[in-house]
Amino acid sequence: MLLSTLSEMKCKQNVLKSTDGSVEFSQGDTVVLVGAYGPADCKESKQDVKEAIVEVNFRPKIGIPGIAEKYLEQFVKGVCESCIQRSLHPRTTFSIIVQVIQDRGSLLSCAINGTSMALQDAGISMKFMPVAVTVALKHKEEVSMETDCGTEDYDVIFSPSLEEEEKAFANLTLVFDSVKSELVSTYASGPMTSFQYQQCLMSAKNVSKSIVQFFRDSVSKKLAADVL
Amino acid sequence: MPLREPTLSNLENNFIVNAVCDNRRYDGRRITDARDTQITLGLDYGCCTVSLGETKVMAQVAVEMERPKESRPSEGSLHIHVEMSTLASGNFDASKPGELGIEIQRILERSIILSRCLDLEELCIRVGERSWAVHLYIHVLCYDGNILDCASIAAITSLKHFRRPDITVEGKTVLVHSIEERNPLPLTMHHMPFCTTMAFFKDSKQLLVDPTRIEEKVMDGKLIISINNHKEVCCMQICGQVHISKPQILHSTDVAYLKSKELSEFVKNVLTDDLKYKQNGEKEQQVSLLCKRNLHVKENLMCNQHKKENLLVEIVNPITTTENFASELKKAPEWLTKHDSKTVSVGEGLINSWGKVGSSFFKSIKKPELPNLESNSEDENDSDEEIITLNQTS
Repeated sequence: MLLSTLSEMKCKQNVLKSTDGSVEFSQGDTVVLVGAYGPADCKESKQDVKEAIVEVNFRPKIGIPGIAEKYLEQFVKGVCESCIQRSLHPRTTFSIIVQVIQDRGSLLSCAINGTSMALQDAGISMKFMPVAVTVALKHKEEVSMETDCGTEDYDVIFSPSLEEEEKAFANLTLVFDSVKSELVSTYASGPMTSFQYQQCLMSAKNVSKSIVQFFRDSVSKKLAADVL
Repeated sequence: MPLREPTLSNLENNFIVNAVCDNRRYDGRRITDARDTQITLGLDYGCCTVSLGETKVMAQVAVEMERPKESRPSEGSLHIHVEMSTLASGNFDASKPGELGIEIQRILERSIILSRCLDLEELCIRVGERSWAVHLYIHVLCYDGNILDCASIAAITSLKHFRRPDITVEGKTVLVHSIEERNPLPLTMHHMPFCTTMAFFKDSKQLLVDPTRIEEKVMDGKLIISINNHKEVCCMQICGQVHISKPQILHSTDVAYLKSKELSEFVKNVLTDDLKYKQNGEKEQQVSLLCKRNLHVKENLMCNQHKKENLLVEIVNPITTTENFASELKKAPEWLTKHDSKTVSVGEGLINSWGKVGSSFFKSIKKPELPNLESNSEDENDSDEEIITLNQTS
């Protein structure tokens, strides 16, 4: 089965003077701005004696953050808690702010990839860098059915646009770790068979490796720009 | 949890005040120079990011239908929301706007809503029943002083850039057409007021345009003037402990007028460029720059923009890009002095004088005093140190 192309990525690091680490990350037409602070002071009531706590703030462009944003916040928070070496900094907070600049589909994966780069930019010690891939499963249109040579009647779309996300019968965001390419977290909506899930998992795993390579490239380019 | 605001030392404070009294600024600008203004327009209607030096603000306009006010049944409404995100500064609380946020919101309301620059009557759909409510969201992304000027540019640009969906009214039903169905309509703006902040120093004798965050901390007070390009003052506010004389106010109004004229020209150009750009079907975010100081700075900024384009990596074949990059790294620029294969330095440096200084220093320590028999524990420590110093010198 032929893979669809992944949308173009852009990463601009250290864009905000005020934060410890900040990144403007875009995936296709979706753009997010992520800032990270930490390890920083923490209220006594929130402190954890054994490890640092993580706060994520998801800010939409229009209106105040609602339930949808809170849900995404929790998801990103879970991913960050697993990747940051929290036991190194007990009684502190890591605070991450995700500002949506332009939403044209696969927002969650863009936000997680941006967060990952922002944490890197802030120089926070991590066990691995989370890498997210959004996959949409869409029924094939009838025209293409006639020329279809395979047995599957659906398309696997990587980094879908808003329209494609709407038309798809199932959406899946998979988060991998950058070291062993193991699954860290999954966000799924819509019905799918276990075969379909496996198929998405395997192909997204391959894609995640090339995203890690992109992370590496952009970090080394940034460092080279600083040195030369 | 908001972080604490970093305090400014007396030395820093004095340095900036003295520099300002000398008609100088720590970032090399002149007294009446604003920082470089950059406007980035996205794909969404009514969305723009404006940066003024390091200060960065994003504005987004949205409309919704509502029932008009009883007192003004034939008018729509405009609401301004200022969001002080923790992104902007560690000590901002995301849940409440704070003193600064409220100040910015009030001045923007006075400058934009009360100056009636937006035609509100046009926003009425059915008198007393339906009208458009325009919401302007201002997100402060990075705070390095003078958020207000930056926010006012962002607000005007996004209002100008915004298109609302077309509607048809048939009797009592209102039909809203989607953007694909019918071309969306722009909002009608009568004029464009821009705010200019001027900081006052030295018993309000010295004036500074566009203060940075540090200058804002040091200043005595500030004068904010909102003015349009017809030289009509829309709003004026004095904050802090300053006494400003009449000629000073007139002078600052002239300065603000010149700035506003330049900005309105710039914003108009940006928007016409954007229209052309979109008509050509190009999708990438458009970046425009207003630079007044000198060409050199402009080139530098352009370089920064280039960097972003270089980072644009095709995911499909990442191998080629890394190879290119490796070959780039091998070429060291000429102004670097090479010491060996791994070490380089900038410039050639001076002759090391440390050796001589170091040895005389150690000699002075080397003269050992006779061991004191009374305190044994200290003695041990002393002798240890002596051995180390001797080893180093020998």
